[in-house]
Amino acid sequence: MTELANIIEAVIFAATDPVDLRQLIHVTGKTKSEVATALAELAEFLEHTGLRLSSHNDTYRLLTSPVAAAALATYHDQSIKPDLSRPALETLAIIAYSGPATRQQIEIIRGVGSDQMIKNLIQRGLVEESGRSNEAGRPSLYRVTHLFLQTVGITNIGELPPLPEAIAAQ
Amino acid sequence: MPSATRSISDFDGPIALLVELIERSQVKITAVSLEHITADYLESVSTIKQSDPGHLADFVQLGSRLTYIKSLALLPAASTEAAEELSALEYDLSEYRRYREAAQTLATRLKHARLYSRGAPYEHPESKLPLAIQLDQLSQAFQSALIRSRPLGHTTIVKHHIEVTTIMKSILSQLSRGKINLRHVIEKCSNRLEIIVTFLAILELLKNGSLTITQPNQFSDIILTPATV
Repeated sequence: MTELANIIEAVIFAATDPVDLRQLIHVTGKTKSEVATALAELAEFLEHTGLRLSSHNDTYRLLTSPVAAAALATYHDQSIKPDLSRPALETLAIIAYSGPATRQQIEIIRGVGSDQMIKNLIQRGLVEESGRSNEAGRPSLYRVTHLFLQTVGITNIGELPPLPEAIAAQ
Repeated sequence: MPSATRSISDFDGPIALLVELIERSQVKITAVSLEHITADYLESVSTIKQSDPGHLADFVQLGSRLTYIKSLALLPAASTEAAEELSALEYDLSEYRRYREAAQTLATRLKHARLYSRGAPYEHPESKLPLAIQLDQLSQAFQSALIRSRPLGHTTIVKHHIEVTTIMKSILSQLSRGKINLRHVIEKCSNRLEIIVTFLAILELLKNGSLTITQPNQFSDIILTPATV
């Protein structure tokens, strides 16, 4: 790996919060293009290690490789139990695939008021507000978080399996 | 004839219910089958307890949409409109089913490979007390502290100038070293004014999420805990 990629690896490791692209540019003194190349290099390099590079909304974190999931669950004394209800998962799916989304967009698909559900998902750290839509009333927009990516085992949103094609009801 | 009422939480939503009914009857949704489906749907909705009017309205709204389409289908002159409405309904159901399937994929992924970041796993906020209870405990503690404290002597004219922000900073710096016992904080206050300002400072910190309050059992000390990131 190039030295820049090594430096970036170290910075992301040392940071407690996800690191912004602008911060990486600032601390390394390199250009956006150089940093982006180094990040791609780092991501590829890590694929063969116990860690992964995760990117979401132009911020970066180091995560563990999927192979370590069981060992880490034991380490943290956690049983891997999915405790999300089906409606919660459906709401998450809508936000993940069509986000950032407004509450109304979510409600149109689910056909049910989703205010409480969104609040619950925010509380669980899986969803966050991401600005406001330009529509009338400037409603809040919601998107999935870094924690969501971790929880479903992906390092960036592009890794989500493609949304199923339109399904005719019967 | 359904005998028991069901809670609204038994249903995942009106569209989910409708999709379920259609899949169960295994018919293609047409103007003809809609009659039967609507009847099934309305019967299911009638079993819902009246306890949650807000969400019940969503179910009723879909019910009236179905009934409207059904009535359009009965009028020869409205056959085009009926076809359009039916098509729109099919689209909405199809959209829902796409996300339902995507959700099932997510559910499978949740069970398997999870990725971890450094440090302790994210702590589910439900394990913390709701804010209302924390505020309640806090105000009770301060009320008793005020009752026990010495009032400012009226023979002494001293200019007391204590800022909330100063106390907030002091508490934050103590929190950076770990949990704090509220009793110790109050004991350090030399007069009633200081107690009040301290209360305001902790309230501010609670409000901005810098700390949470726990009270292991009813009469034990209140502990201020730094908030997890």
